[in-house]
Amino acid sequence: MSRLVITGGTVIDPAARIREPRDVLIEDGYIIGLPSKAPVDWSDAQHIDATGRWVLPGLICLRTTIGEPGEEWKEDIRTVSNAAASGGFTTLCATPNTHPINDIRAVTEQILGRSHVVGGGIRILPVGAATRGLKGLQLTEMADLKAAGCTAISSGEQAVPNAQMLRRILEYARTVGLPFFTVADDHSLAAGAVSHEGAISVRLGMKSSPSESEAISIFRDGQMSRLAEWPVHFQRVSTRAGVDTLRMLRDQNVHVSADVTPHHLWFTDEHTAGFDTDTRVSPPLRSKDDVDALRAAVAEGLIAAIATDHSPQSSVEKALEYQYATPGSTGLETALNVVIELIREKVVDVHDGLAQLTCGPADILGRSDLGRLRDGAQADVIVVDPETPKRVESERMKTKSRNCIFEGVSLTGEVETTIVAGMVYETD
Amino acid sequence: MEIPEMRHLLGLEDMPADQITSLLDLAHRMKEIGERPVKKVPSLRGKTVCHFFVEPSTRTRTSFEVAAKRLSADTLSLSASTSSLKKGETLLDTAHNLQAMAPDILVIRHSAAGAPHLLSRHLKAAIVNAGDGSHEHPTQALLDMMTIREHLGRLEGLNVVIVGDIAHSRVARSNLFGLTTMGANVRISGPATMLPPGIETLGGTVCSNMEDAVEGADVIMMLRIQKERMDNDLFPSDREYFNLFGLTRERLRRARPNVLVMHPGPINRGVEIAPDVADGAESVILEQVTNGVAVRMAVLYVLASRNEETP
Repeated sequence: MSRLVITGGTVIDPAARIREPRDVLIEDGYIIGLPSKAPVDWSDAQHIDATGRWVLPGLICLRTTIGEPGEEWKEDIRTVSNAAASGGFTTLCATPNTHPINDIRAVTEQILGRSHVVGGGIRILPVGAATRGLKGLQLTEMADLKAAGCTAISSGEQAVPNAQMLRRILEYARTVGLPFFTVADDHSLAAGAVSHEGAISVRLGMKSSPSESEAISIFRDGQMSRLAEWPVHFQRVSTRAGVDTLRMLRDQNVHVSADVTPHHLWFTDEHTAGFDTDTRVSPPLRSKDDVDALRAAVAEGLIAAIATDHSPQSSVEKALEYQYATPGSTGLETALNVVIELIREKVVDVHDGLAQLTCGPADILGRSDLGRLRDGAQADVIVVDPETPKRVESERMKTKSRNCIFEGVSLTGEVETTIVAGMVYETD
Repeated sequence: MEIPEMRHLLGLEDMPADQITSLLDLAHRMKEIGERPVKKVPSLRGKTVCHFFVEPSTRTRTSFEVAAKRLSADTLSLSASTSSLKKGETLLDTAHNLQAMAPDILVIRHSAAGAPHLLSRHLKAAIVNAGDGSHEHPTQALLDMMTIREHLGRLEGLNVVIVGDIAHSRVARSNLFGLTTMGANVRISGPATMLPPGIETLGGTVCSNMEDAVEGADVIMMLRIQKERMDNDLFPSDREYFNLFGLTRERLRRARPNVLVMHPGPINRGVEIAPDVADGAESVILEQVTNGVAVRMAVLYVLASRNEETP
């Protein structure tokens, strides 16, 4: 029997809206109690002193590029696990954009097998491709993917190319019982775009995508969701027009959910004006008005999860002309700090903010055993110093790549301990 | 005479008015060199200027080469077809190789916005932007401003009209930045497909109608309709474009009597400009080319002198 006790901290469980001094009792990988004082017979258990610290559920990311198999020069399962633990994440949904693409059982099994060997316990939940090769032409063997361990299916980096294909994906996903993740962009408007259509793209003469591209795509996918009677989860929503469309669909009881990245909640397209390729992300950074709308949607709960869209890229992909650079930023080691800043700025209260990284994404995955601190839940727990100032330095990160859009930004908070299934994660 | 301080010439967006003025003053003096029997001064002797054209160009490259040679610089030229970029080398790697030959100034044209800025962060040489995508083409705008100033004596308060594909034009952007800094009133005109939302934030007033645009104009700049770039449909036909936005003798009558007609070249006769207007008394199109050499001499001169002081 393995026992671990965390004492003296402030336990915050957004799902139950608890925020009070409690000790946490963990036995054999599960939480078995949250007493105000640990019983004396726990004195022989492994002990973590969390005095003055926050004790939170382990964080969950709905969108992480793990790099393996196929792009190990950017990231591999060991380094992404280290990065996750360092940022307080205990569960990662791995996007299907591996090489080969995760559209068959063999790739799913390889990811899971490798994560059991080198992942140090971090839960890597593979997300399978909805169509073969993510090409949008032919359904994948979703039942087989699910049996092999896929948690959801996804359209990858682009929206499904047409409504009919999307309808078939959703109908089949309903048959198999897999959540569907997608991104919103209308290809005819967004193809080749490197920036947001607005004041900055006009100044720089960059090919740009308008906000309407996202709204059109969300509207179409919402209609197909209603027709096919299966939910759609939109990833990395980035515009006010997109948020407004989501709200309209929700008000019509269409089953849609959404996540947003920390960088879209933080930066505007002004940040891209110096042609620094670390600011090239997908979708592109939008306007101040869009950032305000996204923050409001997070506070309201219309957007229920903040997903990092962790996308490690090496200098091979980034030391290029802006339009040729691969989009993406790392995000696992800064997401919690951004949420702490949003809490400090009173954009969200502490529960609503932390819910975005814990029970929010868990609910989207249909996992009531994750993202919560309660009796019987998985003992994924982190201890966080919420006060320490932190200047982002990608050189000091655990991820293999250095493309962090938050480089040099002053944030707050430090993850001190990450516990997955009752075990303290040891980073390299 | 005051020599403006400049490390690179990347664009006109952030260039202050006094710097533009002193560059134009210097260009004016450089122009005289081109009118001498012996068109050469030793100012840049021992300096190396590298012309690195990753996007095809004839006139801008030739103009830069003539400018560098009149100042006695050694020049080398690398274009996209002869460079190793086609072999899969990155822009930065190629540029580092060029840097290893220690040029003092590197003139770059590239189809990607921001490419000169990328080089300026990594190389020791002074970088001159000879056109980056649809972003900026600062020496073109400087030569345009020089030409206007020569004829009309000033820039401030003039009504300057720019007509054409503003959205995809680096010439339009640099002119908008430079002319508004110098106090000109800039109007822009063209079909809405070429004037996307927010284009007025560049400082110009939008006129959807060509007749209104040219009313009382001191200067009319016609942009080249870049047929090679028209992968999506911005207008239905050359004929209809000319009917709506072509600069004709009749439209020209709405402008001021001493109006200047300008074009960055190469012109499409009968598409954006009527042949008789292109060849008319108002046209200063070929003077623009002459002034292009003078402006580029001024830019190279300033950058070379700055380089000298850099330890």
